[in-house]
Amino acid sequence: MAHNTITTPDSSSSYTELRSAGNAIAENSDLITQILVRLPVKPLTQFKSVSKQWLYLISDSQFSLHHSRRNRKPISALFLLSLKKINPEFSFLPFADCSLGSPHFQFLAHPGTSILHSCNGLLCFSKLDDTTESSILRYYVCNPTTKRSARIPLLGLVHNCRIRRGYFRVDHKLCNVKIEESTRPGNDLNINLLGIYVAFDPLKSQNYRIVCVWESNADMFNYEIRIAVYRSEIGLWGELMGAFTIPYAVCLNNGVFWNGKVHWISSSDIHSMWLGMNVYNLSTTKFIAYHFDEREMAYHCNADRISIVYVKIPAVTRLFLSHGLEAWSSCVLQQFSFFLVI
Amino acid sequence: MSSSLEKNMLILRSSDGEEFIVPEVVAVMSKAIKNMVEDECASNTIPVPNVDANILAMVIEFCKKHDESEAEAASDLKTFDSEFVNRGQEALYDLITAANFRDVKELLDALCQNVAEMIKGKSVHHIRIQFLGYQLFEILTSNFIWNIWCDRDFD
Repeated sequence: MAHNTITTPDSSSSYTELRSAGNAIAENSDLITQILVRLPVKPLTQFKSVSKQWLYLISDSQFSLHHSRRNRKPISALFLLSLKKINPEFSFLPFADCSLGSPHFQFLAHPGTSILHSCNGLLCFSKLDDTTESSILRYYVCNPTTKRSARIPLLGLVHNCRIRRGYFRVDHKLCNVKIEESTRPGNDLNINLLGIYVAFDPLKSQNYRIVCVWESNADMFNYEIRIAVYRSEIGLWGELMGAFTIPYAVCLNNGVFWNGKVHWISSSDIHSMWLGMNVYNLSTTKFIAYHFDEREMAYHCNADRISIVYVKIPAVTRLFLSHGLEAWSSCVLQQFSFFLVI
Repeated sequence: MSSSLEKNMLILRSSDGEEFIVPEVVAVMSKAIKNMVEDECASNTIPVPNVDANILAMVIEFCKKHDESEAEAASDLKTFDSEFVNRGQEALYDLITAANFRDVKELLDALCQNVAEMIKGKSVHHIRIQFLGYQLFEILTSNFIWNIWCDRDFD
């Protein structure tokens, strides 16, 4: 019928076509994802409010994994933490193209808080909770950028907590980690916490793991190393079975996570032997010894997104030199024990 | 009929009936066509539904260029890509749909990159108009009505 047809001007008909083409894309979430994954982070956060579908797509954890794999960035700054355990001081060390300001750590200002380890933007710290009658040392993992933290259901009571000259001195004593009854020799169990390490690689997975290493003496002179791994996806600790034979000179107090493994340095060898433990594949838990010479180490640092953070002083110096930071002399560096990478 | 063609040529027929003779190596850059050829379910003519002659010509142009210039410098190909995708929105969206439908990876990559560059600095309203078919007056009126609703007295 002639009078029923609505005549549309050319401009509006092409507009309708444009709409339909745009709609066809918008209805296909695969295509939208393909486009969104190419956007920088800032527009992405804004576009969350476009529609429910976009919010869903952008908030998906697989999407963020995909996005961070596509947009790899070299590290932009280092945090240096002084060796002093009490009142740790941070130095923020931005690299040339860093647009970040120094983040705040006020939430760590509580006395009795000590930073244990860090890895790829996650920070693990312990905090003395003295609101209850018996002081409890609680462990947290936090992301300083988003200021969100999660408490790790870990290691409970602190046995020796003394106050000396106005500050806390905490001797870590490990209690709540599951220890088999058969290996528990009465009350004389003496446990010595060696280290807690966060293992987090945003390019591999959104989940992090925490490795806890301690030694316990079953009898008087026989100390054995024990290791437990916490998985954030299930929220549970699991102890690795078996006695680990670790060369004497390996210092388990200082470890770094790098390339899917936690590495410890051996102090005996001049060319520094590293001991690595794969945290992602726990079924074949083995310690693998590496021999890196300095140059190789520095090369690895530069080529890969570094999460190496505890390296020998010459290697660190070289790394810094390669970033144009000659001002940091090695004598300054010696004061620092580990570095945070953000 | 097929004897008149060279052996490794294929005929693609667009949705509006136009036929294109392309070398097989170019045609199989589309994964969908490649699968058809490998499964030997492609007779002389391969129908390409949902894609009209204009768009199909563009896609073939892109694939030919990429096929020829495999040995050429990557920077040349980059400049070609950026010029190729620099089109009006309408053609761009149709191309994306076609590239996705026929599974042409290189083209889809280049196009998505271009759309991402385009929408990077845009406002949320703009995105809604562009992708979700909101019209400007709908947003304005809904805001207007919302404001009236919010401002009214509840007594």
